[in-house]
Amino acid sequence: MDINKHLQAQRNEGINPHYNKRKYYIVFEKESGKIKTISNTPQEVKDTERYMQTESWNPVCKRIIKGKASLKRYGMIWDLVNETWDIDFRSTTLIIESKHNKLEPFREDLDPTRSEIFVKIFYEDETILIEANRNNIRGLKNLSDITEIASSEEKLLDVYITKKNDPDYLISNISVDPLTLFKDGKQLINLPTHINEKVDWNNISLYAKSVFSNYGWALSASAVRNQDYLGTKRILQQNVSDKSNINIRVVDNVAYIDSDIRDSEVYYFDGRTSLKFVVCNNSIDELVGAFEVPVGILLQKESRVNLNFNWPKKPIVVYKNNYITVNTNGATQ
Amino acid sequence: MSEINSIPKEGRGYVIPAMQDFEYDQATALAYSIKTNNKDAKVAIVTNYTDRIPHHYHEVFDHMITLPYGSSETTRCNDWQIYWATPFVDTIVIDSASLVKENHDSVWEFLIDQYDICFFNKAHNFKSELLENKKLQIYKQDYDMDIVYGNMYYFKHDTDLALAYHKLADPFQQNWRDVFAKYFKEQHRPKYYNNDVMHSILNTVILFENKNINNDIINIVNMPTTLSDGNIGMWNRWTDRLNTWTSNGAKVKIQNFAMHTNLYYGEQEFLTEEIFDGHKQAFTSTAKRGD
Repeated sequence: MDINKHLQAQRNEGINPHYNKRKYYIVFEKESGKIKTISNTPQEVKDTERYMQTESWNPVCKRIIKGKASLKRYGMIWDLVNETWDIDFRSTTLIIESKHNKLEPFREDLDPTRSEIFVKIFYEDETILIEANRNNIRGLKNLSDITEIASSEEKLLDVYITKKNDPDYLISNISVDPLTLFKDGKQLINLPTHINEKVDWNNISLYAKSVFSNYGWALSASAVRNQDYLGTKRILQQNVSDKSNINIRVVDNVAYIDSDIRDSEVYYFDGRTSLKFVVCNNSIDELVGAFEVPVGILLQKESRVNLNFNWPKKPIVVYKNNYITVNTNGATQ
Repeated sequence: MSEINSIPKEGRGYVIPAMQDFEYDQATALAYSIKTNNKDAKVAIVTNYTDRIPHHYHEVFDHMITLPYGSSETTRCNDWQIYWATPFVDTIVIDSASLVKENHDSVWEFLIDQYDICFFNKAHNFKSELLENKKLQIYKQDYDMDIVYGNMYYFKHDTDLALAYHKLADPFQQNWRDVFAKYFKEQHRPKYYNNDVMHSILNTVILFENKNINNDIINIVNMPTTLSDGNIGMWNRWTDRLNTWTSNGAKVKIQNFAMHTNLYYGEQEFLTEEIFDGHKQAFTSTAKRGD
């Protein structure tokens, strides 16, 4: 072999990691990371909602095309450092690592549906709910298969509670178990006892190591046991007697609505402009009437809506929303 | 043994196996539903310790019977003992996580007339559509098993067939892990005791000459199979996805569908206080009307 050519090839590889490597085109399912096709030439992706195409220089593509490696054993992963998709061996071990040593702040105004990790603090309950938004964590497509978590360092997902905008002033840190978080999608942790005595909740910030890109948080007095919190997704919801974020009292066919829903929680309505309530008496089969409340009104602390039917003595209020609970305690007629 | 044999057998009735506290709640609600829709029906609860049954539940049961040969950890692993424990000549064994919403007179007449022992191999979802039971089809295809549901079955005491069935069920249910290991490849072995699989094995072994060819004796809405068939998507519990409603007269609806035959709900979360109280009230008013 010509030694000069060999040295030149080495130099080229140092400058360009893709030197002398063939480029492959991989079409895969966006949701599952499952590979559909691998080819040497770009493919036309017809169903762009479901599939996407990426380029790869990974030599394993050649082995798969030639039938020397099984496609079933490979999947797509998100390379956090290079921020690209690449093909890799499917595994039951989730490898998480920090991008750099800087702490990532949690944004208070971030929409939870757009975040990757979202934290809800319930200061009266003295609990903290950590949610991993698996739809947004694109790199972790095989979450259901994960049985082990491997990380280069411990406490990689821990949440640090600090004085507002001052990461050096640590108030408390919350240990998060990555396996539980990624398997269940959420983790409810008790805050340190007596934390309320030493923390001014309106004067804190949250930080975490920079594993993901979007961290968000919200503060509430106590948890509302809505469908989202319970992890259920019933098609219809009905009024409950527990603490709720909407309370409806009716006097003389006027519904007085008390709402705890804040502007930052507008995502509860999934882009809809109003919420419809169907009212039955005693059982679901006894329909009494229905009314519609614009979202803008539900974002106000107090509001009233005129009803065109008589409020029943034993109301069953039915509606479609996974984030809202309604109670009619104190409803009078 | 002599004491066990001395349990007199007469008439027809329902036997509900129950061992856990939540199963006592379920069994009581089931007994209320049976008696509301079946005048003069007799109901027995079979358990490991009868003194654990809450006192205020006693009124609905005609018999409270202790399992004669001790108990396995899983309630339905003790089905084999029901042959000796039942106080009835003709018995319908019914899982505690069920509700009966119809009259069974014609079912009883047909079963008593036609069968010594009878399992049902059809089930419906809450919309009354026939279920495929995709989960168990593998046992039919790969192992040529007769697939039956174990949540409800009938047997006649003092018949050779029923005796043979329960005698074989004794070692099979007590050693269910070994039985599953013997019959199935590793990838098909249930990790936990599966009553449908166990009774399917027993049916295949014992009742191969007496297959139940008349599938439409009874209509059962089977919610665990509805879930495993994927009819309502991938959920841990069907109650996480579907709405249930109850109203006067212990009417129960799942989504928009009223349950008016037999419901095997299988899910602890289903039996809310409201549904339990509704069945208790319906039973009380039926009993008062009877008086």
